[in-house]
Amino acid sequence: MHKFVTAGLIGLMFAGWAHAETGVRFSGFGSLGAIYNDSDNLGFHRDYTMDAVGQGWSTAGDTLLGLQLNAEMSGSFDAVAQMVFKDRVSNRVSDNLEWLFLRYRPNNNWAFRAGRLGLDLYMLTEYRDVGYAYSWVRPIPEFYNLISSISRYEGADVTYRRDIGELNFEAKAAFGETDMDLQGPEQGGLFALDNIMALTLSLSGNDWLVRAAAAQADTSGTNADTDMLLDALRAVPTAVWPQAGLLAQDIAFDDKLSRYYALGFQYDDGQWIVKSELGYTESEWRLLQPYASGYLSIGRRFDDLTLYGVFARVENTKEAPRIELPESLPYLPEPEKAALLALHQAAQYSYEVSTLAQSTYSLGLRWDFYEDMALKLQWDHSEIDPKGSSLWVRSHPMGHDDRVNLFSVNLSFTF
Amino acid sequence: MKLLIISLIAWLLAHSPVRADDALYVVVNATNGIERLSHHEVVDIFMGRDSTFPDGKDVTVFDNSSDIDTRALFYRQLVNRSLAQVSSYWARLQFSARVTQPRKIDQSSTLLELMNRTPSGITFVRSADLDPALKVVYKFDP
Repeated sequence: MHKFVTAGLIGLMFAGWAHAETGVRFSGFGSLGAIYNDSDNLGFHRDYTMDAVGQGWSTAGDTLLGLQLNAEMSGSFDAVAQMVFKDRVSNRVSDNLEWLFLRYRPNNNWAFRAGRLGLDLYMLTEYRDVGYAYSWVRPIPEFYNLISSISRYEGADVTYRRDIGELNFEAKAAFGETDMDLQGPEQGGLFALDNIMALTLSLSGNDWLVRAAAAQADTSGTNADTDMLLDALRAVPTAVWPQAGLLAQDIAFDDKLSRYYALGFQYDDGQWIVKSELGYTESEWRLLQPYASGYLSIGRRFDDLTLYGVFARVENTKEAPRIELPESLPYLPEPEKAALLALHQAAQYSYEVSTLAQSTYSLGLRWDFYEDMALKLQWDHSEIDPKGSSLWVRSHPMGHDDRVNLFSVNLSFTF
Repeated sequence: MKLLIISLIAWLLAHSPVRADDALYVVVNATNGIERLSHHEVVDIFMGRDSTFPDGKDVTVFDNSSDIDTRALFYRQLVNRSLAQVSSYWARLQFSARVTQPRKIDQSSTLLELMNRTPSGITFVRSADLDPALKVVYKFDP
C-alpha cells in the first residue's frame, strides 16, 4: 500500500518542480564524528537501526549526511524529501529515504501531511540526526535509542496551531505504519508497527516549551532465535508441559499492543538551556517489560561556547516474570528432562534479554567556531545494572555489571 | 608620520561605532496594505511562526545577509540571540521540515530588486538603505 503512496508522491513532486522551478530548495546537514568506546563487551549505537561500534575509536557511529529538497507548489501545497545516509543495519536503498511527503496548508492554523513522515513523539525525534540543532553530540540514548528506531512511518498527520496571547499552542494527530531492520542486544530482526496512532500537544513561549505526547501501535517482529524457541515450545506435548503453548503465545511477537507516553520541557533564554523529558513505554509483548526513562540536561552559553551536563536514567518498572518449572520434570527420563530444562532456560532468558537498567552522566562542550558549523566534545559515563544492558549490542551474554565510557568528537554542520 | 595620522583617522572613521540615527527598520513592499507591525508580530514572521501578515496575506521573508554586523544586530534586537543560535534554531525548523528557512540575500542591490517585485516581501535594512519602494512597518529603538 505505502509503495503506491510513495510512487504517487514522487510523481507529485516532479509535477511540482516542473511547474515551479524557482520554488525548489536544496539543503543539507551532516556530522563527522568519532567515538572512543572503552568496553570490550558492549557495542554502542545511537539507535537500533544502526550497527554498533565496539572497543576503540570508530567513525561509523556518529557520522551521517542528510540531504533535503523542499518544493513549494502552487497554492498551499508543498512537498519535502529527505535522505539520511548513515551506517544502517538495513541494506535497502529505500531505507535511506527518511521522509517524502506532500503537505497542504490552507492557512496559518492547519497543516495536513501524507507520505513517509517523522513521528513527532519526543522533543527531538523529528531532528534527531541534525546535530547542529542541539548541544549534545547525539540525542540522549536512554531516552531516544528505542524510539528513534521507529520514529518515521508511512501515513498521514494533521496539525492545528494557534496563538493564545503571546503563546503558541499546537496539537498534532498522526496515523500510519512502519517496519524496520533492527540490531538488538544479541541479534537482529525485523520490527513492524501497524495502526500507529499518536497525539502530541505543545505550548511554547519565547523562551520555553512544554509538550506531552501519547502513542500506541500494534507491534510485531521476527528474528531467528525467537522463531526457533517458538517452534520448540509449540512442539512440546501438552501432557509434558501444559503451559508451553501459552508461553509461546506470550513470546510470539505478533500484533502486540504497545503504548508510549512522553512529557517534555525546555527552557532557553539565550544563556541557560535546560531540557528534560520523561517517558513511559509498555507493551503486551512479554519480552519487553514496561520501562520508564528520563533525563535532565543543563547548559550554559558563554559567547560561542556552550557547556553542558546531563543525567539520564532508564529502567524497567516491572521485573521479567519467572517461568515455573514444568511439574512433569522429576518424572521424565534423563534426556527429555535435560531438553525441557534447556527449553525452560531459553524461554526465561528471552524474557530478560531486553531488560533496561542504566544511568549515564555526560559532560560536553559545543563551540560554534564558524558560520553553520559546530565542534563538540563529549564524555559519557554509563553505569549499567546487572542484566540491564539492552541499549547496547553485547558480545557476551548479559549478566555483567558494566561501566562504560564514551569519548566523542563531533563536527556538525548545515548547508 | 602624517601618513600614519591620516591612516589612523581613516581607520577610526571606518570602524567608528554605529551612528545613533543609523537604526534598523523592518520594511515591506510599498504596495503592502500593512502600515505597522508590533514587535511580537515581527518576531513571529521572521522566526517562522507565522506564514502570513496579520491581515492573512502571504509573507515572503528575505534575510538581509549583505552585512554581517547588521544581521547580527537585527537578531540581537529581535530575539536577543547570536547568529549561531539563530542558525541552530533554523536548522531545527528547516530539517524537521516544519518551515523553510528564509532566503539569505547577500547583495543589497539584489535585496532591493527582490523587495520591489515581491508584493509579499519583508526584510530589514539600515536607514541608509531605505528606499521609496520600501515601506517601514517597524523601527527598532537604537
